[in-house]
Amino acid sequence: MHTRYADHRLTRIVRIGMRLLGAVFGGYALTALTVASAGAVLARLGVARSEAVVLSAMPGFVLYLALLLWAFSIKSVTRLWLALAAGAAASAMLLHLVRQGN
Amino acid sequence: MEHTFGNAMARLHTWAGVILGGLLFAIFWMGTLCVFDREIDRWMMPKTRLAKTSDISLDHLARAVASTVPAKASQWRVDLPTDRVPTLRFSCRDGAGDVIARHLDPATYQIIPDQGTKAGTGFIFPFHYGLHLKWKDLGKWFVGLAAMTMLVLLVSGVVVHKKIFAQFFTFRPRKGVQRGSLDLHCLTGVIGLPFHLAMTLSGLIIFVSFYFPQAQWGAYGSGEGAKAAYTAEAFGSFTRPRADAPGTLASLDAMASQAEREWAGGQPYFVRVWHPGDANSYVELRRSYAGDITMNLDQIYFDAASGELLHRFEAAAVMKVQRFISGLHFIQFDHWTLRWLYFLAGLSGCVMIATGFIFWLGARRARHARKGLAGVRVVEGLTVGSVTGIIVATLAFFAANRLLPQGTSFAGQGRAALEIWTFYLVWVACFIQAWWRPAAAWREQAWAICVIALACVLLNSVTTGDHLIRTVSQRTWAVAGMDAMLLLLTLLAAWVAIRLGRKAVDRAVQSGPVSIATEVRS
Amino acid sequence: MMPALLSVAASLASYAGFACLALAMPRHWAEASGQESAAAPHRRRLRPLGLLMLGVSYALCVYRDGPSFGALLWVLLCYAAAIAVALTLTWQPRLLLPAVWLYRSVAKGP
Repeated sequence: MHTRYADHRLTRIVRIGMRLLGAVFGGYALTALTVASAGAVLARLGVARSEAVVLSAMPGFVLYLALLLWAFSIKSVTRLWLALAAGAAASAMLLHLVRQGN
Repeated sequence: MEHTFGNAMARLHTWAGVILGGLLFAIFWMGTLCVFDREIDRWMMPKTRLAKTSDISLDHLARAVASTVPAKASQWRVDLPTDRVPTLRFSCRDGAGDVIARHLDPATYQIIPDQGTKAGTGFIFPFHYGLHLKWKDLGKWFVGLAAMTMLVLLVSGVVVHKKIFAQFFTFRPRKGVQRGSLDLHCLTGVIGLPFHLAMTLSGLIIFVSFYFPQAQWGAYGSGEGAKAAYTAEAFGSFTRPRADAPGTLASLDAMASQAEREWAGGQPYFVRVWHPGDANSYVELRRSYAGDITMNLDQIYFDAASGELLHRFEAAAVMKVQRFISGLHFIQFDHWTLRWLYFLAGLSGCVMIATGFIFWLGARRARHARKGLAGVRVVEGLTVGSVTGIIVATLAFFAANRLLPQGTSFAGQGRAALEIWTFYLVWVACFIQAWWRPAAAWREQAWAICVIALACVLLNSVTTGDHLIRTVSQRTWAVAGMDAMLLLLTLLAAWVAIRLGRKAVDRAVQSGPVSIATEVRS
Repeated sequence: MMPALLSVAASLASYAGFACLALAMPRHWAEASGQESAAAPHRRRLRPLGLLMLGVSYALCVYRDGPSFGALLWVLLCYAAAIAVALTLTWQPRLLLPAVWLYRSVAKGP
């Protein structure tokens, strides 16, 4: 089904490029938003603010690593971007809700 | 190739390694040298090769530096001598915000003339974490990207290594370069996995506030005020404005003794006087972490005129964890066995990256020769320049340090800058040489390493009189160690160059090229 | 003096531990002893022995330097020791013969 246009050299380059962008920048953006919302949730739960920041940020690297590995192993680049966007939206919403309550 | 998880990880490992391997080698190489950065400093700044003094009088020191501190200075600071740094390190910030930094003789409190070099702590160490690319902190972002790539490489490497347990202790150099380099790559990668993982992750965690500033949005909001609040609460801070009236300085030694009592025996490692000469001047002392892994943030502030304790700070629990993890990477503690083990482990990381390249190049060369392509020449040039090239450049940096006379300048560049120019120009030259003479590049650069390393030892002896016999008998271990390592490098590089020379003579095709397809889980 | 002795002891224990773990593998047993041997009996005894030696090394490290420095020292010593065992197997596998003899005298079996 995909052979006709997927074999075209330009299409392959675009697909690889989109996957790279999604992995590196999309993955970072999603991680950053998740870290921010985690920090907000922790602070709201009563953890000291500076502690909440460090506690939510340190696992960020592990999360980013997981996202990178997933981004390069998932078959569909479209699905990659959709998942990243959905995750980012969810994190952003959580962050907004928690901070609004402050 | 079918898109399975294994195949994806194999392709990822190969491409990530090829594209970022050169940068990773540079970071690992500089990082390994950083283990002994203070010792490199002693070698590159001969006038700091002093004996350790144990009694430093802070009051005597304050009187000695009083004339050097500019009138409207915002602060002056002295780092006390340690096991590895025998001098006092004085620095002050004048009214305009410029920094003056000098070494002081611990016996006489006199300023040691500027040695005109950035040395280990000023060049090699910042290169390791920031590549000296300060525009928009691009260097730190590249290093961060390289570090994340390293983590990806480690995990994908493990996933892809079919016989990870069976080949745990396997190394077969006699079966040829391809087999030998792949075995060594896997050996250092798998056995060293805890080390490489810990160093990469801890390196990133040191800069957690830089790489994830968004973490502060959740708890503090955004903007400068939020950032300042976070910094103060996490790292501790105490400020009070100038009074713009003259003031006195009480006994610093008394403040240090009181700090020691407060810290239940902990010693201060530096003293800083804020708003010197002002009525609102205050003194900051921080606790040494030479005996711990955790790089504590313990700090005490005293009123300068009365010696009254104003403020005390200690890191909170989670912050302490971050400082412990940072300490695993920074290794500022006094422990010589560990320091040497870290050095060897760092070198093994360099071997891991280099053997990965060697294996990949060998496999690619065979494939390209069959297909009649020439692209491998570009990549091989990049590899040689990135591996032997940066070593040659580092040695040229050391040699320039011994060759350039004091006070040299050229085209507006001072001596320290000229040393650094030497590093970069020689590095570029190595890339050019690798592209120009591809067949002989490895061998010729190995010879260059051999010759320049030996030259460094000889130059040190000639320019400072501190040859190995003298430094060993006088127990100037820093210099002796550096010379010894340089001599070892000379021998190793010569051995490699001779071996490569013999191989060039019998350039027979390897029996049964090892390809990644047979090695990799799919 | 004591810290140096403890380091040496911990290094030796670590080396011995990894040597046992390596010899528990048929291929390396064959390299060291020069003869083929069935895998199962060796694995059953050499592996626990190897792990025990690693435990001894850990205890020595912690005794020398306390819990955090000790653990760190042990991890790095293990790295060096495992590589050393691999290199021994590559260039002088028969150096591990004493371990083979020791095992044989203790095991009293094939």
